[in-house]
This record gives sequence, structure tokens and C-alpha cells, in this order.
Amino acid sequence: MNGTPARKSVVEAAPALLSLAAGCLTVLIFAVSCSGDALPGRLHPEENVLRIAVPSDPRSLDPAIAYDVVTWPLVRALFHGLIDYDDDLNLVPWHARSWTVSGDGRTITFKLRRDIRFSNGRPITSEDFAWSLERILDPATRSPGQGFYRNIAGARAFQDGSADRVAGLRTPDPETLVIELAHPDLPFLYCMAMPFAYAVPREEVERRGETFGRHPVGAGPFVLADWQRGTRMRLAKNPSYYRADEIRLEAIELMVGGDETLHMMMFERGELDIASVTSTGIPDADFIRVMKDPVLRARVAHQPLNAIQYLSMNTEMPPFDHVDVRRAVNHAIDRKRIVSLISDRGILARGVLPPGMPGFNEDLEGYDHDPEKARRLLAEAGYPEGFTTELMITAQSGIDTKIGQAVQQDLAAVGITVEIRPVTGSTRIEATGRRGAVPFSTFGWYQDYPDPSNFLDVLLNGNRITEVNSTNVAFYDNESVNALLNEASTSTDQAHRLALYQEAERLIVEDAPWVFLYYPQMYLLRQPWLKGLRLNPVWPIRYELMWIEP
Amino acid sequence: MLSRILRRLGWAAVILWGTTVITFLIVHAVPADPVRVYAGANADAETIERIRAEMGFDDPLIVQYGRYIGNLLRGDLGTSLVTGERVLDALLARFPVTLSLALTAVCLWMLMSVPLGVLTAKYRGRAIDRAVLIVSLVAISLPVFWLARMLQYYLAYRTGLFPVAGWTGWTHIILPAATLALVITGYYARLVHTNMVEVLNADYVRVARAKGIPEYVVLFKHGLRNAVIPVITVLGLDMAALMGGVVFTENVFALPGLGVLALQSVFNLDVPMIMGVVLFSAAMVVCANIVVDFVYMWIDPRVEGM
Repeated sequence: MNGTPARKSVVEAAPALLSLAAGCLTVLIFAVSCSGDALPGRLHPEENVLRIAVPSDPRSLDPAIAYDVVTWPLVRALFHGLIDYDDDLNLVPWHARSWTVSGDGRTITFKLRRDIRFSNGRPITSEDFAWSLERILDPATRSPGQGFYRNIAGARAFQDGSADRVAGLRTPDPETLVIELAHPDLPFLYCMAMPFAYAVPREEVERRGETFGRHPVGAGPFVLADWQRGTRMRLAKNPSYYRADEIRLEAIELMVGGDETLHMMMFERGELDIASVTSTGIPDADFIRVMKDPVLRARVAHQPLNAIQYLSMNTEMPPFDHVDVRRAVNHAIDRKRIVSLISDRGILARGVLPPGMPGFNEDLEGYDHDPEKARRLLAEAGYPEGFTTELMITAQSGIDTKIGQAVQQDLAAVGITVEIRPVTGSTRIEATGRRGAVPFSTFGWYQDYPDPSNFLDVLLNGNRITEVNSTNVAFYDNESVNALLNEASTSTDQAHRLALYQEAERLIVEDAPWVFLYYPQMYLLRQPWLKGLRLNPVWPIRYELMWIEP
Repeated sequence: MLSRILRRLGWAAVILWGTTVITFLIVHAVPADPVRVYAGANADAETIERIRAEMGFDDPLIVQYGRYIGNLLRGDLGTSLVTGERVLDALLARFPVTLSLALTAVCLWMLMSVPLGVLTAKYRGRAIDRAVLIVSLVAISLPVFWLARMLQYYLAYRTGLFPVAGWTGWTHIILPAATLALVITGYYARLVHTNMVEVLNADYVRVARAKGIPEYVVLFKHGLRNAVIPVITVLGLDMAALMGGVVFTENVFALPGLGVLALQSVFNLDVPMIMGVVLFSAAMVVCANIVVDFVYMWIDPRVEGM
């Protein structure tokens, strides 16, 4: 070894250098672990810009396509509809100045405002609303909302291709939209308040074709300013909005990507104004910590949702075809414990309809936790030794796993052996909708609109049973219940309808096709400088009301 | 030389075709319905059947596969069922992120592992060698998603030294790349070490030293150049494994790359996008291996004749 001393020393000093580096790293990690938990101050680079995050790109901002709790508030920010809800869930005029329903309940006439324009400058007429509805029904649009508007007279003929136009949509003048229904349907007005029915400009849709959902043009308080897929999206205030002076946010900046845990970290670092805009609100793992921390707790807003979490028992498959077995399962399961497992983020359910729903019946008794009675019922049904069954749950869902394990324990206590079968969400939806495939499964349902038909009719009417893709996953078919539901769906007397729904619900609870678990609540964590958050069960997030306090 | 290249390209085409068959079968064997996923849980049966017919999912599987291959040969990877985005556009938009993550990670771990490997070979059996060995073993055993979360928690969330997540500047690449590099460095350090030890005992190294050539020249020119050849081979093969690591890392740090795209399309059962991502990744691995082959020839001219 004959190198120059200087060069040689680099190689030979290496162990020392490495030890030094290791030492520095240790010190750094130690320093980091010791640094306190203090929340950093507000990181707010832009004034009056709301910063939120969503786990993945909205599939589309086209009102005809979007159909989830994260995208709907964005569609609402970009487009404009005929009618809307007030905070008590009454329908109120929006783009429509007024509306009338004919005596037979089959004709609805909307009178429209004339001072509203699309953000491309063109005034909106009744023809735009009629065309937007027709577009939903056009099979080529592939709208998941088409079912809500199939009751418009002539919709089926249009869908089958035997008519060029939907006969029941008429526009006698630019201010008037007349919708004729095939049969009377009170909740149809709620369908008109859904984002599917918002107005889209025909010329822009035709110009953009399938990419309209990425380049939306509407008449809402905001316009899409930028959308880098998988990275970020920005909605800017629409200066030509007819009530632009009431909109106080300059822009909404969405980060796309990351899970709720990550968003929680960013929120606590002051990088987001709302921790999560999904229905979960606060991640499960952080919930107890947040509620115990006085600072964070003060930033929590909460809202019961018009939703239910239940277990569906397939009433066509033994042993669940026996009503006493289903009642026994209801008595065997301790709902209180299940709700405590989800940190009390739910209201105990005694029936199908949640408390925020018109027709909610607070006198329903439901099923109390009574394992003794459950065993007796099982014996009477011919299962004194219990039985073995399989409970299908969604694998990615932490809540489903907790429910599954609690149910497994409770049912074991009365002799029923439950094997838990975790599958992906998409597999579960497919399998449970297929007749005779799944005996027992967890389920959640979130309202489309606040009417009992959206729960009772869709999920429990015998006429919803199909061989595949059934929405009645309990395959529950009780003639008296069906008759009540069918009468209610065409009645035009709201009080009478609600009475019919209550009677139907009473019979359903007696027949116990479900284990009625709980009604979920939404928890929203927001920064103290975010103002104007007004929650309601239909629209927990309304961006047009929010502002950032300087 | 030319026949060798043509043979490699031929095999690459066979591998990619096989990938389409296997992926197509797996995606369609999944007991779930893409139309149902598209339409949402609340859609009724009639709506679902109408959408299925519109999307062409009611055709026999072989017809659907034929249509897919036909389009593929024309360079059309299809359109996402979920976002309506062209699959090729989505892949090309995400690829730079994944590529910069992978390249930064490769640079980081080569920069760390080569000096470590050389040093531990030089000081074989000494304290530094043992320390590096132990640390390497620990690092190799760390799950990527765990390490990613830890780095994120301590170096971003708690101290704010780095951004927690997202993709708005070059600083966003450091922690994700470091995550991948830390896990893999140990392995490469051992690889370099083993080869160096062998090389340093070779006659030509002894001759070089006897001639009085400076030690660093012996180590890095005579030794490393020969010791690094097997490392390059492994690096090519590891591109596949790196793609796997990228899925976790990108998801933890919310980087808009192929890994996130892959996971989301699987959750959404977005059939054309899943096919696209798998095919694209397979093509990347095949390309990486071909590139490694040529680098190998360049480093070791003897290989060309083989």
C-alpha cells in the first residue's frame, strides 16, 4: 500500500465518519421523539381558500354520472338545480321560483327564474332542464340515476328507442317546465332536488362528449379552474354567479390522494381546513384521542345521518326463512355493545327509518338484548342446538370487522356458530344481490332523499326482488307489506302516506328480515377559522356557505 | 448481436401477450361486477342491465378479449370505466412520478450501498463490518409501508422537516425515495461486499497493489468495476420488486404515480385500467431487463459473444 497519505486517510477514516453519521442520526431521532405534541399554527398560504383532501379523484363532475357523498357537494358547487332543501329538509325554490302539483299528482309545473346564466354566459331556460333530464334517461349517458326519473311519462319508450323524445317533458315557454308522470309519485319532487336533475348546457356537453365530466360547465357558485388527475383540483369562485356577492370563498383547493390517517396528520399540521369530507369524518383510530383533547374536541361538529347500519338475513334461505330464527338473532345481538365499539358514533336502531326521516316512529319497540329469549325462540323454531352460518363483511371496512366479531360472540352465546367471510366491497354488493347466494351479511344504506320510500320501498318491497342485482337483499316478500308500500308510493296525501309507511315498518320489524343495528352519525373536524359550516342530513357539506376568517 | 436483440424482443412480446391473457382471466374471474361498482350500490336492477349493455359487458368473454387485443394492437388501451379517462393518457400522466421515485430511490441506495459494500469488504470482520451487517439485516426485514409511515410520522408530521404528503415539488420525493432506499440498501451493501471480497483476493488485485497503485484506485477501479457486474444484473431483476414497493410507498405518501393508480383501479374494479397498469408495469420490467443486458455488455465486453 503505497498511496499518498491524504488519499489513504479518506478510506481509513471511513469507520469514524460512519460512526459520526450514525451518532447524528441517533441524536436526531431522539430530538424528534422528545419534541412536544404542540400543534403548529395555521398554515394558510392563500387568503379565503378552503383546503380539503379527498382519497381519490372524483370519477366525474358530470351531474348525470356523479353519485357519491364526496362528489355531490362538488357538483352542487358547480351546477344549479330547480329546488333545494332548507335546514329542516323542506323543499324550497332555487332555480324554480315556484312549482305546483296537479290534483291527481301526475303533473308538476315549475316556473323558472330568468336571471341565471351558465358560466359560459348563456341564459338558462326550461329547455335546458328538460334536455338535462332527457340526457339522464338516454342509455348512452350511462347515468346511474336513470331509475329515479323512469316514472316520467314516456321515459320507458324513450329508453327502449321507440320514441325520440320523452313525451312527459314539456316546455311551453322558456320560463315553464311541465313534467308529466306515468303515475302519481310524491317523492318525485325529491328526485328533482338530486344533483342528477341539475341543468347542464347542451352545447358544452355536445362539444366535450364523454369528457364533459372533466370539463364541467354549469351555473353554480364555483367553476372548475384546474384538475390535475390524481394530484389536485381547484374550484374558483364564479364571478358571473347570480348571487356572487354572497359567496365568500375565493377558491376551493382539493388535494387528491392519501387515506384518512394521512389527512388527519395534515389537518393537525394546519395544512387542511377540514380533516375529512367523507362520511367517516374522523378516522376510527384517532376518534377517541380527538374527543379527549379539549382543543380538538371544540373543533368537532356532528350530525346524525339519514342512514342505517344493519345485518341482512336472507329470508329465502334456511334457517333464516323461519321468522323465529330471525327474531332470535335480533334478541341475541347486543346493539349497545356494537355502538360502543364504534365509539358511540351511532344511535341505537329499533326499526328501519332513522330519526331524521319523515315518518320516523319513536314508539317502535324493536328487539331488546335477551339471550334467554333468543334460545327459547331458536328451540321453538326447531334449532335447540343452534346452527352454523356465514356472515359476509367488507374486508376493507374496520367497522364491519368490529360488527362481525361482536355478532360472532353474541350469537355463539345462544349456540349459533358464525363464520366471518371478509370480501371486497364490490364482491359483497354483487354476491348479496344474487338470489339464494348469501344468507347473512352486513349492510349500510345512506338515503338518496328524505322520504321513507327510499328505505322501505327500495330495500324491502317484494317487487324489488330480482334474480341478480336485487336491492332487496333480504329477499323479503310479505304481501301485506307490499300492498301498503305500493299504496303509499302512489298516494298524494302525505299524512296518509306516512301512516302507511309506519304500518309497513311495524310489520317489517315484526318479521325481522334485518338485525336493525344503528343509525350512523357524521363527525366533522374543522379548523377554528373555518366558518359557515351548516350541517344537515341531506347536505352535510355546502361549500357555498363557508368562509375562512382572516 | 442483431439476432440476440431480435430474440430478446421476440420473447418480450410473448411475455407481454401472456400477461394480457392472465390478467384478463384474473380480472374476470373476480366474483364482482364492474357494472355494479360503476352504477353504485343504490342503483336498481334495470339501470344496471341497461348500463351493462351500453358498456358491452354482456358479450362472451372471448369476444371481449378479442376486442381488447384488437384495440391494443392499434395502440388503444381502452377507456377507464370509472373516470372516462383514456388509459394510455392516465398511464403516461402517472409514469413520470413513479419513474422519478424509482430513479431517486435507485440512486440513493446505490450511493449508500456501494461505499458501504466496499468499506465492509476492505474492513472485513472488523466492528464496522459487523455493525453494517446487523443494520442491513434489520433494514431488509422492515416492511415498506411501516417504515414509510414512521418516516412520515417523525420527519414530516412531528417535525415538519419534510412535507407530509402530496406532490407539489421536488421535496415531496425525498421521504418516499428514502423509504425504498433504506429497505433495499442493506441487501445491495451485502451484495457488493460479497463480490468485493472475492475480487480483492484475486490475483490481478494483488498484482495491482504490488505495482504500487494507490489503494483507492485498486478498490474503486480494479475492484469495484468487476464486483459491480452481478449487482447490475440483480438491479434489473429487482425492477419488478421495486414496482411492488412503489405501490405501498406511493399510497402512504399520496404520490400520484402508477402505484396509486393500480390500487385505486383494483378497488374500483376498473377493468381496462387494471389491464393497462399491469401491462405497462410488465413492459417496464421487460425493458429494464433488456437495458441491463446491454449495460452488462458495456461493462463486461466478454458477455457480447455469449
